[in-house]
Amino acid sequence: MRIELVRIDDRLIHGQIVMAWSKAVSIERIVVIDDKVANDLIHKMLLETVAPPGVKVSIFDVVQGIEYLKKDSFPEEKILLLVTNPTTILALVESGLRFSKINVGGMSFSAGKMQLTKAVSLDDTDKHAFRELHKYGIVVQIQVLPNDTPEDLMTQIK
Amino acid sequence: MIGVVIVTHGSLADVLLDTAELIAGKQEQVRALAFAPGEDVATLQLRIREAIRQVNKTQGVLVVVDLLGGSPYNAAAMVAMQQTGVEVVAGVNLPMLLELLPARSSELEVLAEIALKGGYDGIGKFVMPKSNSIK
Repeated sequence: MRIELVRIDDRLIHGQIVMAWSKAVSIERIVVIDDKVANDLIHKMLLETVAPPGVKVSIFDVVQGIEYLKKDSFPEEKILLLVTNPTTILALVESGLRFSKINVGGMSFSAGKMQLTKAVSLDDTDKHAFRELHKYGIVVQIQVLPNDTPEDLMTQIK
Repeated sequence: MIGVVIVTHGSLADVLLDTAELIAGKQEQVRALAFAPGEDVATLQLRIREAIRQVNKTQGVLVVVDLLGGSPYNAAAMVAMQQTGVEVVAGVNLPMLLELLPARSSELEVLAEIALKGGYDGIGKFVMPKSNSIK
């Protein structure tokens, strides 16, 4: 597969993906990797219905996701890899998968989190995962929409 | 009467309801919810459930949202999959609200159809009249 975009967005497939990213980045399949969503039948059913026209959706837990990405059954297929948090990406990287850049689009605020921008808030687990990903040389950029200027996340959590 | 919950990205829902009330009059059993940037979708689902509870008088609730596949739609659809008497229609516009608000004594499924038709029929293009038809 050709991974066109790796995005962290806890809203998963939603307006910004359907209306903006899927037009700015050419993709044929959205691969969602998340343990919670993969075990939530209702959420899975919903995600399968809201993809942009012509874009396929696959939803896996982390173990299945690693297997799917490593097997790479469709080498030419252009995909958007979508997860809800950096710890999931870290699990993929620790299994041997490699990414050069991660787009952070939406991590919602809740009590106890540090708010970096309107759209991105982190807890300690998130910060730890980003620091680990940084050690693998992965560029982590906050960029909500395709036209936004990407901002380096790591400089903000030193 | 069927309850209505309007859910949109940002404050569009509040403003749409205010504007609709300028034409359709003050409305009972209607709530407008704004989905703010950075808000958790799970929290939005809880707020939609609570709004449904507030406007429901046993005839059910129509949830109208702005964008097919957007977070308000996703949250509303997940609520509708888990409880009966809730329909979701996307693509809210002023004509849709003006058609559905006065029709709320019908059945829920019928009201959803009225909303859809109102939304479609309210979209059009100005067509220049042929000069010979203007006297």
